[in-house]
Amino acid sequence: MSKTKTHPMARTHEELAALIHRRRQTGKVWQLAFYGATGIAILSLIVLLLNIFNGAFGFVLIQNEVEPADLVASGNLADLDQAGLIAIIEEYQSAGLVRRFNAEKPLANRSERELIDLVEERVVKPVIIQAWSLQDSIFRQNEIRAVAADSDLTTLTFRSWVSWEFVVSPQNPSPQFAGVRTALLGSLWMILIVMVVAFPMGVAAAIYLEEYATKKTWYNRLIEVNIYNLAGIPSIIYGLLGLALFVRGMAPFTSGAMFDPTVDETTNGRTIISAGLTLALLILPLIIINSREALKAIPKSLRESSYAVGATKWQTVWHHVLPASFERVLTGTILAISRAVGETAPLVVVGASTFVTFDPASLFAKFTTMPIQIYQWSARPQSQFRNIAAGAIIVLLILMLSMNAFAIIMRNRIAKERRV
Amino acid sequence: MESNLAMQTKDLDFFYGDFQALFKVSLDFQIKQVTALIGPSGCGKSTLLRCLNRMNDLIPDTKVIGQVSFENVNIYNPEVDPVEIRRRVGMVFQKPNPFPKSIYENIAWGARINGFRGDMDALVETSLKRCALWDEVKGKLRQNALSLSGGQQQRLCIARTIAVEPDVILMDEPTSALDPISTAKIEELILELKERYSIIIVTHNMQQAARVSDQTAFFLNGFIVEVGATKELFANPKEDKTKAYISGQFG
Ligand SMILES: Nc1ncnc2c1ncn2[C@@H]1O[C@H](COP(=O)(O)OP(=O)(O)OP(=O)(O)O)[C@@H](O)[C@H]1O
Ligand SMILES: [Mg+2]
Repeated sequence: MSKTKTHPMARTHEELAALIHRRRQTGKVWQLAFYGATGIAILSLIVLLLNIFNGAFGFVLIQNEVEPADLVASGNLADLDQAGLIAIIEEYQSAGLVRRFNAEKPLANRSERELIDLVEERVVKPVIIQAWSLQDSIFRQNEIRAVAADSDLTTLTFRSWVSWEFVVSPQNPSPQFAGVRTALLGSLWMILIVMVVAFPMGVAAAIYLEEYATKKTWYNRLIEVNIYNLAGIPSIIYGLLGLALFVRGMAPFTSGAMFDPTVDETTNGRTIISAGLTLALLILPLIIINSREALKAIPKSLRESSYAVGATKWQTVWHHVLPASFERVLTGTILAISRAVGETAPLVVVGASTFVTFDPASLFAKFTTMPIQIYQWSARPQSQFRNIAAGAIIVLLILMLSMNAFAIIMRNRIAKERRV
Repeated sequence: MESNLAMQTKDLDFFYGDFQALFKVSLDFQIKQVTALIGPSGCGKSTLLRCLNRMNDLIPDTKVIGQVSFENVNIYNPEVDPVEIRRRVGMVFQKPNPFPKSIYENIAWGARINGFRGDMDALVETSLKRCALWDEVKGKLRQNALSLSGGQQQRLCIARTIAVEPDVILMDEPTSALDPISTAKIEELILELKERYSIIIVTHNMQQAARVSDQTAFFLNGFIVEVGATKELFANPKEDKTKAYISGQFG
């Protein structure tokens, strides 16, 4: 140890070494904590995905009322011609039913594909009598095969519960035939309404607050504080607001009665438009906050350069500030809309229908959305509903991912345009 | 106000909130001449410059007392439109700040929003030629202006300013971010632009002030210490503080 310290921060070698050692120790602890946090996050994500895939794929045991092999020697319905298929239908179905089919669309005019579908649905009538998870399908294959071999008239196949068929089929009481078409269309309509309503309104409000409002006036301060508070309010409260305001208060409009007096009165205001407006309100504060941050990030120098050539405030905002911040505005908006797509609680309050089989025909139709559908299916006691719930979750995830991908592509395209 | 004055300030006080940055500044800016504003950092040069085209209006909580005359009108009169003032009194900033758009659009935009109806291509060409930039960029007018070098960007900013036909050009340390060659080009440009425009330039570089300006004003803590013909002021400063500053003893 040296006794003559010339500078208050002068240190001996040993002291310095100890200091560095201590600093490294602290660093290591923090590093470990960060790795741990990231690890836990990744692990939970993997568990979540595994859980979903576990339900969405697996062996199913199907029992047919009539074996295809009894209908055609090869066991493959596609080997039959049109006449053969019609003959089967006429043989196995009552005369009254055949008349009804003919009334819908004459059998002779139907394509081979349509006829095969009809035979499958009406004559073969496959019923899933047991379904296994992906995990069981992989690790307990022998047991499953034994069960299948034990029961007569059954076939064991590996089924992907999420398929194109699943995406385009409407809701159905039987999980085997149910699809997400209605819910998917409901969600897409909703996205459209939310985008058309919340995006321009949110950006306009952000422009006002960031560029025009003087921070000094009491009402501007009040608005500002409240927008931040609104962003934190539980979504179910927005549901109650939507119920009072759109479903009840604006019923003549939201039920569509204003435009078409013959409309189905039982829907009241519990329609897509009410749901869309409610969700638009819900994400409005998010869009405003995100857009304001985006505007705030534009440097003063860009604004000044515009003012210096004699531009008005509006010209400056419209031609320079908005384009420069548009990438960020867009990202914020897509994030907010993703949140809206996943909302369930407020829609339950606003009155999402539990069972809709028809495509929403207009803004004033009954609706259901993907999360509502998933919620309902997963609440059903039969295990097969859990399989289709898992399938629906995958569809929802794909929807979200494509929305985000769309945002990224848009952003890159805008960025590229600005660079040339 | 005499007709050979481009602008004039009279007893100008300026406040940022409670902080007073300018005290009783009275200055005449001669028409088609270059006036240099010098002084140590924080003495209020930029503040004065930004008072001359009402750029300070954009900073909240500021106050102006006194007069700034431009064509015999006090630009702080309530009926005067600051937007029009900013077109007539252009500004070039310390850090080159072209619009993040094409080179062409950088020049054309200001003219377009000000209602220019003539031949835009010709305007772009003459503006760039006057700033000695045409030969360097004529092949890439559609490229983003940010792809230019710092010196080219600053000349583009000057071209952008003259494209809207101002009467006065304010320059706030236009070369402080540039290399010596770019600096020399801009100084040369200033001397050429003097033929058509009145120029007011803030600089920390004494040699630059001596090279380009006709008149110099020396500031200290928000006050004018001394003002006069540049040659005279640098050769025999009347005030001790001016002498100390230009000989590099402080600042
Ligand atoms: N936006 C502002 N808000 C509050 N005070 C400011 C602001 N801008 C400048 N000032 C103050 O006003 C005084 C003058 O500033 P100004 O920028 O005019 O100095 P300057 O002479 O241009 O200095 P420099 O040579 O460093 O650019 C300084 O004391 C500064 O702190
Ligand atoms: Mg300055």
